[in-house]
Amino acid sequence: MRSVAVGGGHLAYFAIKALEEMDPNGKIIVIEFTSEKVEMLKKTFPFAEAVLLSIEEVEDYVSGNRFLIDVLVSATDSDALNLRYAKHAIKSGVPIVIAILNNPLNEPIFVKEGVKYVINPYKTITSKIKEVVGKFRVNVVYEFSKVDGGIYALKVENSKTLRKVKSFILKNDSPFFVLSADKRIRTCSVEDIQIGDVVYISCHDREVRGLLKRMGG
Amino acid sequence: MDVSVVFPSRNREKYVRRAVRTAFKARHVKEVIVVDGGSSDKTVDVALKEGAKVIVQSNLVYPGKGVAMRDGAYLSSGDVVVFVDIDIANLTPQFIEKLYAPIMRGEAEFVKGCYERAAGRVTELVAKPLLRMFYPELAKFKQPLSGEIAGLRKVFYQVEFESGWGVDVGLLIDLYKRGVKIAEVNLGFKEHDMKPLNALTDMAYQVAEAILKRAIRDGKIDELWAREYISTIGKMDLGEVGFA
Repeated sequence: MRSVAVGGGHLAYFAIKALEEMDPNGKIIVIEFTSEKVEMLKKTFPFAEAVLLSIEEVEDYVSGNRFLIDVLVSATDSDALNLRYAKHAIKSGVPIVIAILNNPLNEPIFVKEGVKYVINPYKTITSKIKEVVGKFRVNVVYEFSKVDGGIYALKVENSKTLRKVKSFILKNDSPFFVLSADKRIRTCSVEDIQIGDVVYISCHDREVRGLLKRMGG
Repeated sequence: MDVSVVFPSRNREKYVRRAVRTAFKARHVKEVIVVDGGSSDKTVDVALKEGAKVIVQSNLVYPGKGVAMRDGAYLSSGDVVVFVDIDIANLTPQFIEKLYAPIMRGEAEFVKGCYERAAGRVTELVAKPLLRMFYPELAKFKQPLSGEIAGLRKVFYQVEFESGWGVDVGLLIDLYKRGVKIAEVNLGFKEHDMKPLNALTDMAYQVAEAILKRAIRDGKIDELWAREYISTIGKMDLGEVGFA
């Protein structure tokens, strides 16, 4: 796999690590705008090729190498640049284009502009906090990138919630597993779900929104 | 040459429709960009509806004017980029055209707008004295902190944007140091809300910081001396103020 990561900050750091883990023999090119950061990137990621380009040269580089690039990750510290580069890469025919956001408020803008794979690193913080604090009855545990859905955690607090969760699973035929109050993970039938369990359900986003509405969440 | 107009904005629902429509009416304008600072009103929705490109500025927690301007420059695709405050009550297409006219005529690569009215308080009391001390060649600018600027897009990519209120004077100094041709144009009268005095402290600080940082960088102040001097200020025994 041949990947290009644009940016040399901490968002790009995690992207480069992930690309290397995915394909240790693949080729990774990291594009940065300052020579100091390029030198640092060379030391931090000896397996990657760090390239110094100006802001305006990136698009030409992508166009010129469009048949060679399998994945482009735009992870600069400017969402404006990330949007610009992601849109250009999509237009150039790069098969997988990913943008990593600096500001989560930009997610709908990127999606509207046709950037399909947008990573919002802050989503994890929100869902983890909610999961740990447990104040909310439905938490997003994982969102799928390729379909509008994910894995959602539902805390069964009372008999009313239990009834609604059971009927939801049966109606949507959703795969699920359960974390018991005593921290055991179990697979079981719908009938075996109990008050105190946390039910992890995989379903479409619109379905879980409907459930949330019915539960008053 | 195509022109991109950038409006940094935050909670400016009241102004955004008129600003975007006016900008699109100016000659050569191919795109209007609204860089939002995380508005809680409908600024973003209205801007999108009016056909503007919209981006929320990258810095989530500490949004600043400089970050907004940087993002606007980065998102733009015109040969010329014009930055205009969104809340100018008497904004007209001619106002925008006047700003980029010297660039179109090949007389300048970067233009600062100035106005009929007297310059602001931070300009007169902070920016101008410091510029006179360290960059006397720039002290001739009537309004060095003016937020209305235009420039060839490529010149904005040559310099770093300060994140906050120091951005305007920072750009002026840095572009001057790079030998960019700079002009100042009189834009006439600007009808604009004035900031209350107590809101100017942060602005004054950031402007002073931007100028002093560059003075150190350009060898106009000895950095070691400055550090030592500033650190002693905090330890000074100021005594007690006597009242008559």
